Amino acid sequence: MTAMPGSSHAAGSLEPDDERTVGDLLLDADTAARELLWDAPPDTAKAKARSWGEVVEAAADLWSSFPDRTGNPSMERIHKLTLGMHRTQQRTGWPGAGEGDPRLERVVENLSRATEMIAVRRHPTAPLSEPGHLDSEAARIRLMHVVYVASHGVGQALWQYNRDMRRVLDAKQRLNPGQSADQSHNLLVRVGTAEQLAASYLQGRWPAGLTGQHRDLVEPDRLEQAVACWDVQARRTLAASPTAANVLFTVKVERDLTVTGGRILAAAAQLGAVDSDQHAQRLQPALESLDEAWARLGGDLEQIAGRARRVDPELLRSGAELRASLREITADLGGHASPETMAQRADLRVASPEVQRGLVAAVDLGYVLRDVVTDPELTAPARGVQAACARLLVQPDDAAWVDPRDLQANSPVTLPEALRKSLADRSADVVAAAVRLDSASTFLGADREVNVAGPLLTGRAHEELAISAPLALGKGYGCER
Amino acid sequence: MNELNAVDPTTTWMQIVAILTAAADRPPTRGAVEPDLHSLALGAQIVASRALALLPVDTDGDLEDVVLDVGASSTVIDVIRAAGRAARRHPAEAFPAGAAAVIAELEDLVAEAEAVS
Repeated sequence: MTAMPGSSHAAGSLEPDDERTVGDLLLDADTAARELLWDAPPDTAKAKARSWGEVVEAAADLWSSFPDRTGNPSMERIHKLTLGMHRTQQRTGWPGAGEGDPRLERVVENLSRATEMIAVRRHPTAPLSEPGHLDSEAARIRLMHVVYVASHGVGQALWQYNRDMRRVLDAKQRLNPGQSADQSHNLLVRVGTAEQLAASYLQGRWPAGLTGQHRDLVEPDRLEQAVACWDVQARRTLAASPTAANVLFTVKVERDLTVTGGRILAAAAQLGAVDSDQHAQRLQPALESLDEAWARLGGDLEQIAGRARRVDPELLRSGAELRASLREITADLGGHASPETMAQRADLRVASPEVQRGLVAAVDLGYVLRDVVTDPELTAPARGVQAACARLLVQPDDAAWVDPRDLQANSPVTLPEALRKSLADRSADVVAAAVRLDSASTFLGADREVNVAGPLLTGRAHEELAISAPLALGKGYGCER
Repeated sequence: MNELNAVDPTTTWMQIVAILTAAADRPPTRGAVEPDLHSLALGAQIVASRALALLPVDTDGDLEDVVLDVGASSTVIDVIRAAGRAARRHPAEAFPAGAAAVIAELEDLVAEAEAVS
């Protein structure tokens, strides 16, 4: 359902270059609705009042365009409420003709397009497979969330408008033509009711129900590329711009690779993709040691770097990509993924050695970090250096760690030798822990040599390589791409 | 203007950076930590650094003086939520140029936090 693409796959009036899937359209509708919350000035209330009914109309159309096993009446109730509101608007002439709200119009456009795409592809009452049902439920939850957020945004603007009208009435005893305190209040009440109905539906469903949404398989080589790019970029940045912020960010990403990558290794061991005894007895303790070593170094650097952590944009980008490539496997839409879900999303026999490759790079990176933190030229904000010294070291009797004038201005200062020595020790601990992990994880590399099927897997081959996952049902009609 | 947006947008943006930085440092620095929380903390650091990049360098010193209304016992999830609330005090256009993209990332981070809460 949510994976249905636009473009030439669907007939009708869709723009030929729009490749967005139903899921993409729903997400964009949700984003547009959330943008309403940023700003709700009263002068936008009438435009929003005009568009809100169209949002509910489009949502109700989309809701009824695909099968519903549950027969939940929430959207129908909201729709009927909106029809009553529309009749009232026609009768009273408020808010009257005029422009609509551009954000809500974007919501309507996305929902209408999604309805068209589904309508040309499937029958609204045809039975759904189990994955298809879960996908459709996720779509309903997202759709109801759009209505919920849009209602709240419209309600905010109406509330401000109504308050202003009451003030004008109190002051002047009359309103200008086209203005109405009573009608805006009536609409505010109805929009509020719709918001409550939507909230009741979402209670207990959002965001957990999103886990059923169809998601594309992980690109087989994304993690490999992310690990490799990160490794290169970290060294490049630390050589060119060895600031405290860049060092700290490197440590944080390395620790995330240890912790989150460790979840991939644990899932692989649990499902038999790698040797579970080796994992439990050697690899897991080594991972915990490396995590602690990164944590100690990172904790000290957090103090030193202070809040103004200006990270090299390229380092930031490659670190964010590594995090995203790990989360793509370990996180599901509604929370963290189970080992079985991870195995469905990625071939853990391929992912495990990639994680290992990233982790053992910490041996060399630890040496690089030691060189950086022991460089007498390294500077950091004075207050951060003072805080780190106060936390780690005993104050010398004869002088302050940091000149009070530098503290006042928070100027960049070089690190006291004792602090550099402490950081060097922390870096040495990282190297030692990484060496132990390298030794404890050699069995992962051996498995890769045996099991890897080829450098680039097709989606089908990739899926067949997934291990110990529940037998996949045939994709339902609504779930094909 | 109401009490929510009594603080000017630039100061609010600095508060967001400071709050996210607090979130980034929130998990215990030693011992076991929930993997999901650690990933959130790194996400907070990424968004914080991107938000900071929109501010001129000469505001870095002032950033250390920003007072945070975040309890010491708050979890990383609580702190990320607080950053999301702070971002709603002003329209995106009122924040430094480029803020809309950062706010979108912050929204995603809040959603990640809600998903594991």
